[in-house]
Amino acid sequence: MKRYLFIAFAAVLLISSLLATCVSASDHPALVVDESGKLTDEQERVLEAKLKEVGDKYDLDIVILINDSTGGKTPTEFADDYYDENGYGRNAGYDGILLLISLENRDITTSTCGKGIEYFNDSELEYIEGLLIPYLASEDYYGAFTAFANECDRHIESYLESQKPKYGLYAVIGIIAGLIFAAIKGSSYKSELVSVYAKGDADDYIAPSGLELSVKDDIFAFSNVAKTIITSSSSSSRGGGSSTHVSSSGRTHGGRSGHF
Amino acid sequence: MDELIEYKCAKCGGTLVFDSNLQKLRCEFCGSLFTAEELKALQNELFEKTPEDYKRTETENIFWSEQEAQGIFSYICESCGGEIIGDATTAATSCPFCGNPVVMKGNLSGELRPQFVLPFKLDKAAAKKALKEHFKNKKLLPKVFSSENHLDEIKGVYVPYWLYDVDSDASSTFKCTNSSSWISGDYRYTETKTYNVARAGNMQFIGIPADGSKKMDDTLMESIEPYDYSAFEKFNAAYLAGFLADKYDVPKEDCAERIESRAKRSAVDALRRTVSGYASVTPQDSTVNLKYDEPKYGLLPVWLLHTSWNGEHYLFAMNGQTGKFVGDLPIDKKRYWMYFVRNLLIVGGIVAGALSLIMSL
Repeated sequence: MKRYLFIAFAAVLLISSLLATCVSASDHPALVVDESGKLTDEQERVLEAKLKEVGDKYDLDIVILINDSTGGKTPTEFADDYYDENGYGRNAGYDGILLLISLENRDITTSTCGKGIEYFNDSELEYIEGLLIPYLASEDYYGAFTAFANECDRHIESYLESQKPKYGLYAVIGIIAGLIFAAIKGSSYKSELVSVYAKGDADDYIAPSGLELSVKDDIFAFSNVAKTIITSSSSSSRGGGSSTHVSSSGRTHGGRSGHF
Repeated sequence: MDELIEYKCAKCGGTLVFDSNLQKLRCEFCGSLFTAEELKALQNELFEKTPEDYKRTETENIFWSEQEAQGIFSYICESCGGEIIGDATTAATSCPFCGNPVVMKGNLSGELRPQFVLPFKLDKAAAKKALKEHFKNKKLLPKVFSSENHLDEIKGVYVPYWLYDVDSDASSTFKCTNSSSWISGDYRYTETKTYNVARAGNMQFIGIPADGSKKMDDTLMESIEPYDYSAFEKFNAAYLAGFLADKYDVPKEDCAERIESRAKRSAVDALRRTVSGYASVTPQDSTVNLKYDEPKYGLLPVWLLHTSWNGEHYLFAMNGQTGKFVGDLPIDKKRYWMYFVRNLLIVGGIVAGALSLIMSL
């Protein structure tokens, strides 16, 4: 009887601890999900800490998922659904970004949501993809994810910096515009005071018959053709917007997908 | 002694003045009105000059040449016997003692007799009103100027003018270009076609005016142009009654240069205006040949207003026919900077504010 009691007690303990784990897991889903065993525990722990740190800094979730297969879904569908179904995303807008590496078709996919869509536009996601592919191609997954975390940190910081109003610059532009306007207005006010000036022409006295033209020649002389190469606009600025789509859960996501 | 004319009313013998509103001579005493022609018929002897009259005037001019050198002429007023002092160019004035308008015949006869006169259309009241209007809507005019400036003198003057009819033959050449561009492959091609354009033509000018009085500032007189010559009357000294008039003292030869420069500029501009349809037009050479006969001598109506403020004198002129009013005004430096700072703050604030708003959205 004692034994049964002990087993029951142990079972209650086990279930409650399992439940507690589940609850804590649903509260803070893991930011690094390695379903293919490509990372060591130590690497996972370091990455998890890094992603949490960057995510906390900008108040969004940065998630890395590596698996073998997307189970018949497109990588984008899979990434969107995984993000939505596992409770990622902070604040009301479910702000965050998920990087999915799927080994079966060598897919590299990003899915953004909420503020993530704003922070990571299409060209930035393309840049990230280009940044990670060399690591992935040489199967340096840890290197790729570290680079991803660092790029997220660097990029969001510079994005937020670029969005900050530059009041000093606006004030200088305002002063210059004001000076130009005040000077033009001032000279126009001054000119109101001057009405005495010499007449340089005699247009008022031209006879009603006007000008009678006797010669009117327009002779073509020569022609020059200049050739200039058309330069395409540079992509280094990585400007532009974010294209979005709606996931199966009805949320709006941004993102892109490619191969490595 | 030079001869002095006062126009007397055919009915009461009172002094007549030319009324610009009625365009008639009006008796200041009985109110009778006469057109210049009616008066001419009534007082034929005053207007119709026989060749002997001219001869007599010329003799008189020679006789007065010594005094002319001194620049002072004296006349005896026919109405009150007072002595009127004028200078060598005075042709019409008023007696300082009795105020009666007088015309100095000697300065308006013979070679000095104008061919045309453009009678005043606007009177003294119109000139005063125009002066008040002139002060309006001038942001930098000192506020107190309008109320404090004192009208020292206002006078209607028939200014002697040389009027040139000019015939111009002008030719000009221009270099003109048009460009078109297209894209083929990775290149943009821009073709620039250059044309040699030539224009020549004849243009007539009627009555380009040159102020023939040294007393009058040429720039001021040019500023109140143009006049409508269709209202020209054959010269009749009766139009001068009640106004001031001068005879010319700038010989016509001295005006030619200014006339030529104005005609040339207009002729070249007119040719330039016929060149169209090009993206760029660069004038190359221009030649203008001008032909003109002896200029006509005419009197044009000008109101002159002298005012003073803060120890400075200001001169204004109004075209006695069209009412065009000119005259430079003083500037209130404090107001200038006040407006400058105000505009700087308003526009600077709006631009900086709008930028901040747009960029923070």
